[in-house]
Amino acid sequence: MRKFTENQPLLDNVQNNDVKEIKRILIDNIFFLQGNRYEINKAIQYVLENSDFAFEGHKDLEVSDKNNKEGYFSEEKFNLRENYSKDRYDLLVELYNEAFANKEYTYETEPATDNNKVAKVVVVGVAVAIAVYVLYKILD
Amino acid sequence: MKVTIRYNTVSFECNDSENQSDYLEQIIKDNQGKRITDWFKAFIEKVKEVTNNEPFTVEIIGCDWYEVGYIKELFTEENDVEIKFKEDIDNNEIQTRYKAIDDFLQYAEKSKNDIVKNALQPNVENIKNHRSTKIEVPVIATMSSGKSTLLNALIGQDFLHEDTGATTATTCDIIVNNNLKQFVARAIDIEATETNQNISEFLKDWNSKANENINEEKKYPRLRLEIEGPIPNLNTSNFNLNFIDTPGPNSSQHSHHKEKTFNYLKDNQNLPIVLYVLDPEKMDSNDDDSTLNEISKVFSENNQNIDRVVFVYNKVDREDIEEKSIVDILNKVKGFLEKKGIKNAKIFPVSAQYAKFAQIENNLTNKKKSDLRNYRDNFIHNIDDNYKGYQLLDYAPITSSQKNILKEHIKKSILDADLVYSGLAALKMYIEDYIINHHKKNQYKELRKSADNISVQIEATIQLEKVRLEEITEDQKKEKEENQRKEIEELKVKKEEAFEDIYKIKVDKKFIEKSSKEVDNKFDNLKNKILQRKELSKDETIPLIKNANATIENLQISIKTDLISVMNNKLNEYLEKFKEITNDKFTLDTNNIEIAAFNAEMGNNINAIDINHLHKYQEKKEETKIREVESRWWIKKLISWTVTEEYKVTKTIINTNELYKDAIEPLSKKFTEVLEDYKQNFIEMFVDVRDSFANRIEIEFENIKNNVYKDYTSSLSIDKKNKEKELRKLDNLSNDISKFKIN
Repeated sequence: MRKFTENQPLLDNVQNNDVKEIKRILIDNIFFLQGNRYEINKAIQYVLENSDFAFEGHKDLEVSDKNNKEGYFSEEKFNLRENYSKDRYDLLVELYNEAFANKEYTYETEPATDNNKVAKVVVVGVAVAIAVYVLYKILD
Repeated sequence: MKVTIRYNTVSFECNDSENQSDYLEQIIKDNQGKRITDWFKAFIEKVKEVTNNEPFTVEIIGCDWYEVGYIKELFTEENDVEIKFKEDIDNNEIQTRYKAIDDFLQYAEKSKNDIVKNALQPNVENIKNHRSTKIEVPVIATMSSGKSTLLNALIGQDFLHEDTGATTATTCDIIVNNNLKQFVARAIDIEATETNQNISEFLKDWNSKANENINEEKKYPRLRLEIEGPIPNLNTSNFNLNFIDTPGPNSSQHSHHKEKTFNYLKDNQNLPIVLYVLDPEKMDSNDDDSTLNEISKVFSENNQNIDRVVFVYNKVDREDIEEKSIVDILNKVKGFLEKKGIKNAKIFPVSAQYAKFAQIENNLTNKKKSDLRNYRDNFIHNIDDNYKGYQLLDYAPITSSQKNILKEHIKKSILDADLVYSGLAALKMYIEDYIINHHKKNQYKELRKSADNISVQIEATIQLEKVRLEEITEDQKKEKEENQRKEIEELKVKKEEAFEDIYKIKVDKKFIEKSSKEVDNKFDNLKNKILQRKELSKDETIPLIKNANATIENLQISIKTDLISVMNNKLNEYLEKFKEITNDKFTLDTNNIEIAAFNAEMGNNINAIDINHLHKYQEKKEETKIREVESRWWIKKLISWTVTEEYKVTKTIINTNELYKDAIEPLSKKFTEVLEDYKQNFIEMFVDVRDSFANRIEIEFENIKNNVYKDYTSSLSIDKKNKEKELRKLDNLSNDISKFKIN
C-alpha cells in the first residue's frame, strides 16, 4: 500500500502552498492511494496543516445520474471544483471505493519496440550494401 | 389766430391738426364723417366766438374744387375771416381714389382667401347699396301745390294730370332714360300694361283705377305707374335717375304713403334727394306739419348731408314782385320752415308752369301760348322799361360759378333762357350737382368706409393669425418636447429593464463537464489501472500509454468537434434567449452578432506521452526465483529426485509511482486545466455574446432615440415650414392690401 508521502506532486504543491493544485491533486490522491481512507485522511490532515487549503461549506449541487457510480464519481468530481466541501470529498472517496477500488483490469501486453534492434537492422543492412558494392567492384 | 383743418374729401374725415383751441378741436371731431360744406359755416361762427370777433385765419387742407368754391362763396363778404386752401384735390385725384376703392372692393369680392371673405361679409349689403346706380328723387308735396306741374316741367312733358281737384292715387316712377327716343308708360299690377301713345290719358285712366274700390277694398292694391323716357338738358352722370311722384303723406286714403315718404327722408343708405314742393298759400294750414317735423328731425339729428332735401317754392309766378320782393317772399318761406325747426333750408323759387310751357311750346293752345308770353314778360328783365324781372337765378341756392354757367345758358336759346328765368334750370343744375358732388361723393364715402373696414379687419385678422401661428407652433413645440422627453424616458426604462433581464441569465457550464464526462471517465480508469499496481512490466505499460494517448487524442477530437459545436449551439441558445426576453422592448437584428470562435487549439497543448521515453521510468529489478533441478547425487538422479534451487533474475519494470509523477499526473493536471480553460473560454464567449447583445440594445436605443430626436426636429421643421408658408401667405395678403391706396 502506498503512503501519501509517496505522492511527490502533492508534497511539492503543499510545499508551494498552491491551493488550486492541491485541490486537484487531492482528487488524484484518491487514485494514488487506491481509496485507502486512512492514508487519504492522513494526507488531508497533512495538507490542512501545511498549506492554506481549507474545505468549503457544503452546498448541494446537481447530479444527473447517481446509479452509474463511475459517472456519479465523475460528476461529483466536477462539483468538487465548484464546492470543495469535506462531505463531498468524503463522498468522492466512498464512490471511488465503490466504483474503482476493486475494479479488475486486463493488462494487455505488447512487446516493446527495441530501438537497438532497429539500429542493428539498419547497421547490418548498410554493411550488406557496402559488401555487395565492394564485391561488385572486385568482380568488375 | 389760425385754425388748421386737415380734411379728407373722400372720407369726410378731419385729422388732428395743431389748433390752439380744444373747443374748436372738439367741434372738428364732432363733425367727423360730415362733409365740410355741411358744417363749416356753423364752425366759423364758433371760431368767431372763440376769437371774440378778432380777425382770424382758417386753413383747410385737402378740399375738392366744389368744396373750395362753396366755402369761398360763403365768406366772400366777410373781411375779418381769411380762409386759405392748401393742397386742393383735383378731380383726377378724386377719380384715382375712387378707382382705388373700386379696385380694392373688386379684389375683395373676387378673393378666395377666407380672411378677405370674412372681412367682406358684413360689408356686402352696404357695398351693394352704395354701388347702386339708381338715384330716386321723390317729389313730395302738399295737396295741389303744383307737384305734377313741377314733374311735367322737369321731364319737359305734359303727362301728369294737373287737375287740382284730383289726387295722386298711386306712386308714379319717372325713369330718366336718354337712350329712348320717346316716353313709354306702364301700369304694373299683377300684369304690366304699356303704351307710348297718349300717355297723359293712360296715366289719368290708371290713376282713377287706383282709386277704385271693390267692397271697400282696393281693386288694384299693388298698382304702380311708370313712365320712362328721355329728359333733355339733365345730365345724370350715368346714374339711373328716377323721379318718384308720391301720392303725398297727407292722403287719408293711402296711409302707407306717409310711411313711404318718411322712408325716403330717413333713407341713409341711398340718400335720395327729396324735392319738397311748397305752396306758400297753404303754409298757414297744418297739412304739412308731420312731414316737415320729420324733415326737421333729419336736419337736426342726422349726420347725413342735409342738402338732399330741397324745397321748391313752385308757384312763384303767382307773386307780384312789384308789390313784394322775392327776398321777402323767400324770407317768409324761410321763417315758416325755421318755425318748423328747419334751418338753412335750400329753397328754389320756380315757376314750373312757365318752364313746362316753354318746353312744350309747339303743342300749346293759343291761350297757353299767350300765358307763356306773359310768363316771359313777367320773368325776363326789360331794360327799356327798367323792369328787373323775377331774377330767380339770383335767389337760387347754388354757387356763383354755377349761376355764371346758367347765365351763359341764357344766350344759347330761348328755351334755355326760359328754363333759367323760370328757375327750373337752377333746380336741375342742383339735382345734377347733387348727383355728382353729393350722391356719388356720399356713395364713395360709404364705399371707402366699407373698404377701410374690410382693410382694417383683414390687417387685424392677419396680426391675430400671426400671433395664433406663433402660439400654435410654440404650444406644439412644447407638446412635442414633452412627448419626446416621455418617449426617451420610456426608452431608457426599457433599456434598463432589458439589461436587467439579460444580466439575470447565468451561464451554465455543466454541459462542458457533461460533454467531457466520458473522456474524463476513461482517464480516471487509466489512472486507476496504472496506480492499481506498484509496478508494471514494460509490455504492460505500452498498451496503457497508448491508451492514455488515445484518451488525450479523443479529448482533442471531442473539443474540435462535439464541444465546439455544443458550445456554439449553447451560445446561440443564449442569444435566442436574450432576444426572447427583450423582444417586448426592442426588436433586434442579431444576425450579425459574431460568436467568437472557440479556441480549439487549447486541446493540442496536451502532449501525448512518448512511449520512447519509457526508459525514464524503467528500473532493473533482481528477483530471486526458485527452480527444480536434478539432484547431484546419483541415487537421487536414479529415482529422479528433484531438488529446488534459488536463482537470481534481473528484469526491467516500470515504476508506476514514477510514471504517475512524471507522466500521468502532469497529464491529469493538463486535462483539468484544459477543461477549466474551456469553461473559462465559454464564459468569456458567453460574456462576449451577452455584451454584444447589450451593445446591440444600446445601439438600438441610440437609434430609436436619434429617430425620436430626428422625428422631433423633422416635425419642428415641418411646423416651421408650414408656419413660414402661412406667414408668407399672410404677408402676401398684407402686401396686396397695402397696394390699394384707399385712404
